[in-house]
Amino acid sequence: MNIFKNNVNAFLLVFVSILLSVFLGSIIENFKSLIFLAFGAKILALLLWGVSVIPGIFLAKVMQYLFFANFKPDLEMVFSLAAIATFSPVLLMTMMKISNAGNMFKLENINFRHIIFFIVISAMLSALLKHMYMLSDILFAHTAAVVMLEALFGQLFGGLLFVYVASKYAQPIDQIIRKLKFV
Amino acid sequence: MSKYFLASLNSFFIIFFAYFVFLSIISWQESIELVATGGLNIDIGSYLYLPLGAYAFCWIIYGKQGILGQILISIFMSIYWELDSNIFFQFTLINVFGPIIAVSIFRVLEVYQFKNFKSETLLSFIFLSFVLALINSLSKFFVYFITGNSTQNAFNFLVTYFPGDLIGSFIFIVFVNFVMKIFHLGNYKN
Repeated sequence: MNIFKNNVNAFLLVFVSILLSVFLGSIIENFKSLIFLAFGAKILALLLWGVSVIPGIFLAKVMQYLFFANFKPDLEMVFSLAAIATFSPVLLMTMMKISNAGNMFKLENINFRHIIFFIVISAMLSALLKHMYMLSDILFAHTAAVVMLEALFGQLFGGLLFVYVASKYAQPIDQIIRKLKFV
Repeated sequence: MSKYFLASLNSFFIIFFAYFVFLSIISWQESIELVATGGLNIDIGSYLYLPLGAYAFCWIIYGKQGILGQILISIFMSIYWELDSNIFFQFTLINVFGPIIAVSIFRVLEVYQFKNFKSETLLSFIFLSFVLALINSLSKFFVYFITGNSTQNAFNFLVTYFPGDLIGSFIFIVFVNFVMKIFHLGNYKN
């Protein structure tokens, strides 16, 4: 029951931040591409509730690619991109834990600098994997590199901004759990 | 002054050695027809890009004292590969400053300090190689395709550059770590 609640929380956190990014993107030009808040929400959800909220994040990402993508993806592409977006931070969390670079699975005694490292590297990894998948069946167009660059910086700035703001209002970071009770 | 000269000279020759081995492997692969003839193709890259590890190693060991040697060898190799003028300086700078950024990320964010190179674990080298490969392949991808040099599929570019950088840098770093251990070489005294 607790896992289900956490999944709903994670879904709402990511999905609301997607809506916020889309809404702000419609008001401010290039906002969505430069500051993509959903990336930070996804990272925060993983830090707060652990890997058990993967289904909730995955569902929110599927919704994002189904309804708010700038292109018209088919269903296979939607699920693939959502899976890459969901699992690339988990892959990095696992790598960091194995190589003693910081345990992102436990919030106790977490170093905030390690969280910044986690955001920076997972933004790069996510951008690389997503675009490797998307570019696999098309000949290169100049705009794709620009889109990829924007996506990378959007995730980077969005991730850092979201997690910084969230942690600013609740230190240590595990107190956010109490503040972000959606259900 | 002499410290800077010595560190730069050492950096130059270490990276030159990495390039030499890298180019020798490509020639050997061609000689036994493992890869198509025609030398190194900048569009596709290589699956064993050793010099990336050499740049990172020189920055870790010599710091800013060896940077001149790194810049010189990078310019030298860009001339050797006859890079187009619109990517010449970008690629030269990425070769030198990509590893600096990668190592600095680790140091500033207190993940690994890389102060004593010999005592670092294999896992930390894997992680360093991973971040080196990410930064190098992504930045070269952006420069290469945004400046409009594309003749190949972008997927081919990324799918060879990223693993090539990862494997190459890891092998070189592990190799020099091994050499430092067996010859009891200490850290460079700044």
